[in-house]
Amino acid sequence: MSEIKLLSSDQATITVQKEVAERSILIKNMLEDVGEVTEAIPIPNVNESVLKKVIEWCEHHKGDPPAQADDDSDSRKKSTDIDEWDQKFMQVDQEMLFEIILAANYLDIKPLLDVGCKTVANMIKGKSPDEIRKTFNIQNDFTPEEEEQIRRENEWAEE
Amino acid sequence: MNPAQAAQRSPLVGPVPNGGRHFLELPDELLVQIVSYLPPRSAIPLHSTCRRLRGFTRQDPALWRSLCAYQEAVDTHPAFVPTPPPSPPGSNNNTTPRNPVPATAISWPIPGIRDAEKIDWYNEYKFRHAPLKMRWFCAGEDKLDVDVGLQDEVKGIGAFSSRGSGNGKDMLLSSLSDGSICIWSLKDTASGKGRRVVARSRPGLVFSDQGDEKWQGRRKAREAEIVDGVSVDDVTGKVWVAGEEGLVEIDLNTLQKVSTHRFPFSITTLSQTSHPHPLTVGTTLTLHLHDPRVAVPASTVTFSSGGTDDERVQPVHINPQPYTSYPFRKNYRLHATLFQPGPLNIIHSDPWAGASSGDGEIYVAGRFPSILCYSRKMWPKLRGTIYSGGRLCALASIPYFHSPIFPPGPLSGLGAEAEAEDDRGQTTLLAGGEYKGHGTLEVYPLTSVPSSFPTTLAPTATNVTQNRQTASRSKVMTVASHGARIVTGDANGIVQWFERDGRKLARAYVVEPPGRRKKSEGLWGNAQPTTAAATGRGLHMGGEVIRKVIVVNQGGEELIVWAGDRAGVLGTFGAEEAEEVKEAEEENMEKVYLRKMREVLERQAEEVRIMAGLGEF
Repeated sequence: MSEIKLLSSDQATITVQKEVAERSILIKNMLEDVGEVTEAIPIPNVNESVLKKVIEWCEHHKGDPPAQADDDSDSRKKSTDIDEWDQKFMQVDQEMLFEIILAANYLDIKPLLDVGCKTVANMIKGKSPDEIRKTFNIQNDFTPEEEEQIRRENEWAEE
Repeated sequence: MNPAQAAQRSPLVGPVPNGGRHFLELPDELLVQIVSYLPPRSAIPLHSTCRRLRGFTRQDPALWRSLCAYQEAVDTHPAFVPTPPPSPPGSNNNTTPRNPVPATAISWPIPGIRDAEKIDWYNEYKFRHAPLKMRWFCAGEDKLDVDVGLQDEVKGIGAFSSRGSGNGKDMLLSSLSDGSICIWSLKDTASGKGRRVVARSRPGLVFSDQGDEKWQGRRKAREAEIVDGVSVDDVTGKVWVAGEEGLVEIDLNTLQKVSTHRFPFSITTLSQTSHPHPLTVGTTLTLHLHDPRVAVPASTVTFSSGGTDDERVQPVHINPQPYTSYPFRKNYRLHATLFQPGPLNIIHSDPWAGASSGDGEIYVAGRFPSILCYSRKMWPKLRGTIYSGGRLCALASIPYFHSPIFPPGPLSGLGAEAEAEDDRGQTTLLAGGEYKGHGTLEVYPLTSVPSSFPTTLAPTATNVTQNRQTASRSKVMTVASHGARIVTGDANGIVQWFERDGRKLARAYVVEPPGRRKKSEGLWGNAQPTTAAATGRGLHMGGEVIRKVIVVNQGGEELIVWAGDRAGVLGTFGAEEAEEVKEAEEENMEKVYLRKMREVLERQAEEVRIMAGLGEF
């Protein structure tokens, strides 16, 4: 099994099995284009800790059937249903969670992106606007008039 | 998306302790994907978190369009696993955020709904699934309101915009049985601030000044028949009311009568004005384009009123010749003579067509088996007819929308530009009425491209829907296009929403007059409204006849309903109504308490007196 090296944004080199790295469509396509490489592949948008985390996920899921472009209807039986290992994997602080989502998006690892987005969706589910703002530290930028208007528009759902 | 771009901090982002990533630093397409996993109820709170999230959870139509489709799937197939919204937008990395509408949503509820229509899909969702409430204009505690609503019956309604812009209607104007004109603010009603009367004219404004008995009798008769007797032109600030002696022109600002225009026959219907085009007036046997710019002093109008008396015995086919001998005013000369009497509804095709409105078609329905089509260009020549066979009394149109039974294609085949071209000529005409004792709802896709008009006017039979089976048990009194649905009101007091194919019932609401709810509390309880909402069938009796519905946009799409002799607003309001009831209850409790206290005190006093009496022995 051949191995390749990845260079994170903070100049850390990580060695990883080719099969694992190819969970990332970005890396897979790159390897197909360039052929064999001995130098470390720079991943300029992802730092070491995040990259390690992403690779951990890829290692666990390396045996999964490859993601197809339009298999969402099958793989997403229940939108916010996440398998147990992934749930544990995603038990990280919010900042790391968003980093993982961004990295998954950049590296084009669709299943990981889905898991990340579902995790965030679960954090939003069933919360009030205030609770959501508190959870994600979002500042309310509406004027009182706008707020009143929105409240009226949504008041049917406040039961 | 490059995370480096996203890393630029928005000033709105709150401080993050570890200097890590913040939720709002995620690029839009990822936020859209996250939101797409949420069920409808959980997506609503995001509307009020911050502007950016509101942008794509509320203002962008894609999310709620897909949620409408999702809810529909859940409702029609209960076995459907209820969590996934159908193929979330942006889930595929190749999808650009501009085109995130999932394929399932495009084909729902029926294909052919275009972006040009600007449907508010959140309102669409609300009107399909949220609890509906009726707020009557007469039910307020305000003494004036009570006077208005309970003593004077509504005789005609029209909605207009207080800014005179022609859209964004926020005022309701109504003519009342005492001959006055009353204006309510819809905004206040929607926000639960009460049903404030903005203005009211003197009583008898729309009546003639002579109090002679002949007129009185006529008034009675007239009141019974005209539904579309009020037309408001907010651009020029005029109100037209079909009064008993003709068309009464009222200034919207002063609520004073400006003039009265007489017509050779009694007026049966008025079109809604579509500035700058003239009002179309339908009388028993004629149609007139009434251009207010052709002003003739009322005193010059002279014609024998005896002529109007024969209107009921006129034969169906009349010779137009005799009427030209009337000294018609200049603009009356250009009238169209009907060969069968009784136009009941007139609509203009202009409001949606914009500058290139083509010929300005006028559609007329009435006590004749076809819809008549005129155009201003060829006025007063009849351009064509659409055969229905039913007795139609209501017309409406869906702009930009064509043919409910869609040949697949227009969406896929044409480029955006070609589509835009296409939109203009496409209109669907809706008609409601009665057919052999049942209600009928008819959908006529029209291709009114001006050049090919005469040949393509009559729609091919395959595209026409005439729902005479499930539309209603009673006469369909009124019809309108409401969001992506068709709304109808029938003689049994039931408001129903159909999909645009005219067949599939989306929702039904039984309009109950105010006060009835309190009476029916014990025995009937809440069972009635729920069953009605679920099926719309099995309920023969709602309240009073729904005479007219008007769709208005005021902080969400709402529906003005004129039922029986009252008008009200139907919408998805919050819990204000309950508070009122509670207040009333409290008041009641207080009264009961006071009465009991008085009784107790009286008894005590009695006792003291008796005791005192005993002491004397």
